[in-house]
Amino acid sequence: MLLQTGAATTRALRRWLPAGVLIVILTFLVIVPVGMLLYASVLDAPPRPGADPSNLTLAHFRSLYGSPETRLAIRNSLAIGVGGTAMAMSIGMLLAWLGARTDVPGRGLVQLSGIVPLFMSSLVGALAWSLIGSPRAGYANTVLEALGLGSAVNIYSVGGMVFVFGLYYAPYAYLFVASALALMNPELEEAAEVHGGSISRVMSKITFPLVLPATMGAFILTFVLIIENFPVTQILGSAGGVQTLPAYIFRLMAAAPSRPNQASAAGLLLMLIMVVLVSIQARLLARRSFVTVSGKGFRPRRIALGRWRWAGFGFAVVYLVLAVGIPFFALGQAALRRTQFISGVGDFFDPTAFTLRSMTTLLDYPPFALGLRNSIVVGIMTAVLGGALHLATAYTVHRTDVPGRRILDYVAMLPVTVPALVIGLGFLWTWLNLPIPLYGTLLILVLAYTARFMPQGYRGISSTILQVHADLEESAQVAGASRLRAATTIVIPLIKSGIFSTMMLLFILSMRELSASIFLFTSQTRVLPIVLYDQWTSGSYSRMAAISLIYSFLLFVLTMLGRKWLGMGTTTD
Amino acid sequence: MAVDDLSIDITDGEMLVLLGPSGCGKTTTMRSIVGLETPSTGTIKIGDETVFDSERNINVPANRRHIGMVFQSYAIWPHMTVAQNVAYPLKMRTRKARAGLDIGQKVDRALQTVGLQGLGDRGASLLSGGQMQRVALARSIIMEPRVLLLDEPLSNLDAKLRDRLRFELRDIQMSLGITAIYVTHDQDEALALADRIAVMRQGKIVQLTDPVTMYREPNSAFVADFIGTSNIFDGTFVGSSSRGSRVRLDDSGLELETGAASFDEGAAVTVCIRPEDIVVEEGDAERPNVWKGTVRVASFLGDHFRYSVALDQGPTLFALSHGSRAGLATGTTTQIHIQPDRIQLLER
Repeated sequence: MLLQTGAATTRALRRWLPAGVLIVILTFLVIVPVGMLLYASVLDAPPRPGADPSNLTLAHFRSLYGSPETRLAIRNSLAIGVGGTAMAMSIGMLLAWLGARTDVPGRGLVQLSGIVPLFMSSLVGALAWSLIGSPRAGYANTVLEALGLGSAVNIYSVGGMVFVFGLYYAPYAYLFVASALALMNPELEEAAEVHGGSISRVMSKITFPLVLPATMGAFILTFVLIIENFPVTQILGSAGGVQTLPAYIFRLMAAAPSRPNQASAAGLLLMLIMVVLVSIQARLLARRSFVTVSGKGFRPRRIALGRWRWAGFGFAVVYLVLAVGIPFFALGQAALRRTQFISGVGDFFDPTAFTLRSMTTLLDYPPFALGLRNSIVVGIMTAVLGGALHLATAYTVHRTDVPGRRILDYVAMLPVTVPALVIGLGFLWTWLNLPIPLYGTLLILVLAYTARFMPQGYRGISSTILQVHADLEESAQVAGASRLRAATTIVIPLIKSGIFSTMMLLFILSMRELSASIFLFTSQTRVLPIVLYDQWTSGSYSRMAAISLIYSFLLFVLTMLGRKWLGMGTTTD
Repeated sequence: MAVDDLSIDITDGEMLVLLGPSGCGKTTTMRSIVGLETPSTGTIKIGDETVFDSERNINVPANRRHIGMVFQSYAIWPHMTVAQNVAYPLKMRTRKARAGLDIGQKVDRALQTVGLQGLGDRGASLLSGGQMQRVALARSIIMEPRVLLLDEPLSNLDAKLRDRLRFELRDIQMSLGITAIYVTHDQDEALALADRIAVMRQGKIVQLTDPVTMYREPNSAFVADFIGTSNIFDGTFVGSSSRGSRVRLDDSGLELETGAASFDEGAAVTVCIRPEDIVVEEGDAERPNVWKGTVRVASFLGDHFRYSVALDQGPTLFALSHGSRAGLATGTTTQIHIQPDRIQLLER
């Protein structure tokens, strides 16, 4: 009897083991940090070891609620979010539609313009536009003054941030809408035309309603990405005194004396906004089932734009110039000029004013070499750890019937609602209080990035696993292969390239991450985005621009390699 | 619950066909036998070995049941060659079981059996549907399985190829003496292949018998409908006389003479008439069950015509007429006749 109970326990243990181990890992990556943030937000002392966990208070929330600064920050964040999303969606949708459904000239360039700005992180975009659009010294104002129009441009404003967000989040909107258009069966449109609908009526009555839910979902997701964005709001907002939630959280931590508990409470507030938005988005997408995918290769009909053809092309070119051309011109100027002082428009093109010094001296600037090395090491480790973890999670969720797999699926997607700053803060409180000396190592960054990019990584690998029909694996089992051998001889060889492309994505995302790093780095664990941010705060614009150029070039090469070799972007995001 | 309290004994070397509409539980039954799904209660025995017994807590995993299976999607591994696909089951055997086995020769023989000799080196993703089907079959027979399961293996092929492969499949199964279970929703396939057919509905077996009996004496309207009797009506038993019995169709009030039957007067019955038992031609009007009607649709199917005939005072019937005589055009008025003993009455 006793023996039997023992055997039953062993069996139950073995059934729960795979999911159990993964649940523990995901809990430490996601649930514990968020829990620690919650704990910090109600503790009456800084959440360091030795703080009395029984002294709880709601005072931090009360002071947050009572402060006009908070209300201003929320209002600005929402305004910037709505404005930036509206602009990004307009650009992204128009480019997606032009590229997929019209006879616009230079279609390849139009399609490329929808994604190229992805390799510029929003950090570099904000830095470049601060060079262009700062109220007096900005290059744009130099040009305007030369034209006698006065210093009209101020990028350090709500409007300026809306503009920069609109430019650099348009690719996300583009990807969402382009994939919705690609998934739509053109026979639905053709049927409407055959039954007498004019092109404009087909567009308004069939095409648009069909992609509407996906578009709404994309709107909310872009909005979420924008309101949690730290680099842009910090660089453009704080310089102009425009308070936003992410920058406010950072200021509470960076001020002397720092106010970690209020910062945590503000972090929770930001997270709450995101939870609400993401759950609305999930509902919208759950009703999307009528946009069905079929395996057929679609050849969509293209609408003749007539005399608007070149206007469409021009739109794509203007977008590229604003998002990439002008910023790189500005970064080039700042990086290569002997002095940052510019007396007039002619100075932009004076050949004697330029030198390669800031580029060459970078080699002798130790923080750059250290940051680059750290970024690459952390990126590779995140890709490897994330790849393995997401593969195990996705396989368990989609290909086994072990108990607990629904929980896994849920937890893996949870970080969608957690702002990067909150992940950073949560990791800080967690590992300061645990007796494992992880703070100050590169490993804590790896873990924070793994948590931060879990939804992208997990979804990427899930979709490749789901592309492999379950029959292929089951037939191997029927043929005598154990579960493990079926996975290693059949499933993994088939999804190899999908795993690699997801790992590449994790690597690129890690290389770009400032927000999750900002509370976790120490002098020895600076990563490239931190080094870049430091140049801006210390006013070393020339070096900042030089690093930005090299950094963007690196991301550009990586992105292109990822797309070319691994078909990245087709299965992810 | 997809399958409910199901019990079948399968004889060695026979081909049992599970027939039923989609969602009737036939695939679940098959997946339980092979070990890809776990029934909540019951036992499954293959020969003398119990592979599943819920009470004794026995559940042999799929890879140790030694059952072959051909999937509806073929499940050919695209990253391997044909020969690698076929050799896979042998390579998965333990070292001991593999000792002294000439895998290459076995693969060649299996490929020859299914008519794919010489294609071993071809990449599996380059095959046509019919070839994939053959590879899947070779992969299953190479393991010399105790039972071979076939899950709608021909449903993704075009009609001509399907007919040919059906014969080949039956030939291979019989010459190798393999015990096989074949799942399908196609009654022609079931009738052509089976030693016995089990018609399933909502997780239960409705009728289990040989194809001829199944066709001649379906035990319910459901089976009759499924096996291809297109004329099924609700009726009321009128009564018996020395000549036979009479039944009235509920919807049209048409009275039919049938063979001897023992129902109570006024009993609710189902009236089944197979299309080939309806004779479409002018003739002696003195016979029983002769009615006038109009041809609504006539379709020529090579060796026979298929008509739908709307009776002047009655329902529309589907009829088959064999022979190479010129057919009747749509709109022709005609006469139909049904022999009383060909009309089947079922309890309702």
